[in-house]
Amino acid sequence: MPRFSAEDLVASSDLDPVAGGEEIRLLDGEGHVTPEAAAFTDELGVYQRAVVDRHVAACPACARQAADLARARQVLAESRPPLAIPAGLDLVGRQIAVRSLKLARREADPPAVPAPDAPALDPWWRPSPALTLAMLAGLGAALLVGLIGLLLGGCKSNKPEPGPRTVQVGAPKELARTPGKATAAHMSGAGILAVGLESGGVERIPTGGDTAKAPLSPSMTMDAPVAALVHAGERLLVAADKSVVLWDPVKGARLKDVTGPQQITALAVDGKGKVAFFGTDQGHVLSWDLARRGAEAVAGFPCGATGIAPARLQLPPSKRCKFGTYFQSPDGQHACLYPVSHLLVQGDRLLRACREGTLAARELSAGKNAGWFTAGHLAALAHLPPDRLLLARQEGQLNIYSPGDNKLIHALVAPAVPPLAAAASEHLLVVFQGAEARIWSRPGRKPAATVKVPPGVVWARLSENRLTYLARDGRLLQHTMNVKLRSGN
Amino acid sequence: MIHSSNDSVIVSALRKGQVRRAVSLLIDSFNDELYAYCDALLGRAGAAVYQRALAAAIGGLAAFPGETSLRAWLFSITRREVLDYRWEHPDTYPGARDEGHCPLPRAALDHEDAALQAVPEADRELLLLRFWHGLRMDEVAFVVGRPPAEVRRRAGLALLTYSAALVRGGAEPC
Repeated sequence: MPRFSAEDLVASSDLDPVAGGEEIRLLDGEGHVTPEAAAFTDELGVYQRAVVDRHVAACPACARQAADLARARQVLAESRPPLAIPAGLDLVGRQIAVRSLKLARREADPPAVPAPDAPALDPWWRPSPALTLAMLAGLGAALLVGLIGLLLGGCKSNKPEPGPRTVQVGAPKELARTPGKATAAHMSGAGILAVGLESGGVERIPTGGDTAKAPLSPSMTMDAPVAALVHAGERLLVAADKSVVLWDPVKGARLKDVTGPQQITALAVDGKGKVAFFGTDQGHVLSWDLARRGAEAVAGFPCGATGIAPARLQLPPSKRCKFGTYFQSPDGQHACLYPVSHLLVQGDRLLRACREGTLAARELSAGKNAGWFTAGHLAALAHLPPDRLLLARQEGQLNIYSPGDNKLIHALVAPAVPPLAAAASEHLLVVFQGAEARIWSRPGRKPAATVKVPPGVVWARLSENRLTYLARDGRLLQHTMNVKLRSGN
Repeated sequence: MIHSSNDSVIVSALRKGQVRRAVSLLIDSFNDELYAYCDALLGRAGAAVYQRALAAAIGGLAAFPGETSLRAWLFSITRREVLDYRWEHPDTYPGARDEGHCPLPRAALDHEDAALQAVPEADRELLLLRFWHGLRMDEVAFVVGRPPAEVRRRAGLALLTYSAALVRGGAEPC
């Protein structure tokens, strides 16, 4: 076993700027690596790390201890509970912030002096009167410039201007109805809505132009209720039970399929429609190159697992994990595995949400993970053009998230009702909660409109003047919307 | 850690005098974690203490000393509020008068991590701060107000205890 002199230890802290000059005891009196050095090797400096690594390589007892500690670190990190503040408490926290800031300003400044932080125009904060005047003046100037530009250039644009809007929603119109209960849907680029049914059937409904009439007769059938489906170019991928099938939807021909040992819970396709990704109820994410026959696991991208309390091991296996699947490894370890709840491809990123509350991203072209975020238990996940996401938590909290920066941008004001589906257009977003759909004008925290809808919506699409959604009972409904810039702005 | 990137944004907003923006970012970035920390230490009373901690943090944000990370500073404020609460409510703190009380944090119980029970409560907090909330050991030392060498030694032994409990299959259930 190698021995290290006192000089080694002194030098380790002196020479290592990474260690910040802190004295860390690397070896104990018997010449073994101390638990504090072995437990937090990631915080050691380069030289200290080298000393520890050299010693561990030559000392079996230290190597065993290092392995045990590494495993303990991993289990502990993975057993971290989902972080989710109750929606009501989050709102209270923000009210506290407003009150604290007002109080601080009153104490610090006489009322006539403008606030020093006036330029921060986060939409959540209500602007002060001085700010409102400044905003109105700015908006007036912008409108004047816009009017001059319109008169001079004569150009017309159908795009609504950015800014707060009022949204008026018309009565629903039934576009089509499927023969059974709908479980999933996806719209192709050509405007064909593919609907998966509880019976296992798949319907195709044309939604554009005058062809929006009766649904086509079913020509594709799965052996179990459809869990997810997505278009891959002109082909259609349908997941049910433990299988994913690639269909030619025009001919109704089954082209290829893959079947595995786990239930499929989520499905996505890359931007070119060549590689499919699917998630399972045990937290695995698999990729399927559609030109090949089999799928393979995306390495290093599964959901986290947690250990099980001994008391729960007395329960039947099906009841040991509240929200996941019980698993016993070959070496006798007990764990709960959690399902992949959502998969979404956004540009070059594959985003994966898990029932245990993490949201992770992977760069597809580079083939490496791009970080993760504790998002909570998500009930819905929607792409917000151009590069953001709506995270709709099960308890009703709605957050706008920026995957590029890996941070939350702001929260939307919504009741504590589980979301069912969400969709977004360039300037609007909609979330279905219970028997209501709330529409927000982006950026804004309070809903611009609320619409009564059938309870249970499985899919939605939002454009700047239409809201289309599929109810669980199979009705495809559409509201027309009148969206205007808010008067007075 | 993913959260540390927000530290610099918040501090930068503070230095530019954008207090509102800094507070908004602070809440967006840390509300879940601070609440989870209060909830793990105090159970049901965690919500009230989270509010107190948030108010204290916002009140002192403009004077953020910068001697440690914003994250560690927030956790130190929250921990102080937790200790104050325990001091003010000795009877209501879970397990204060109940010898049969299981000291495992509620959140951990939900996640079936019973091996944590084998770790003494004071040291368990060090592990949670390090591995659940992503603080470095020098930041953990700042939060708990103890010398870094002592905190590092205690946490190393605590992790060893936890590791042994994992091999045994967890501590005895309460």
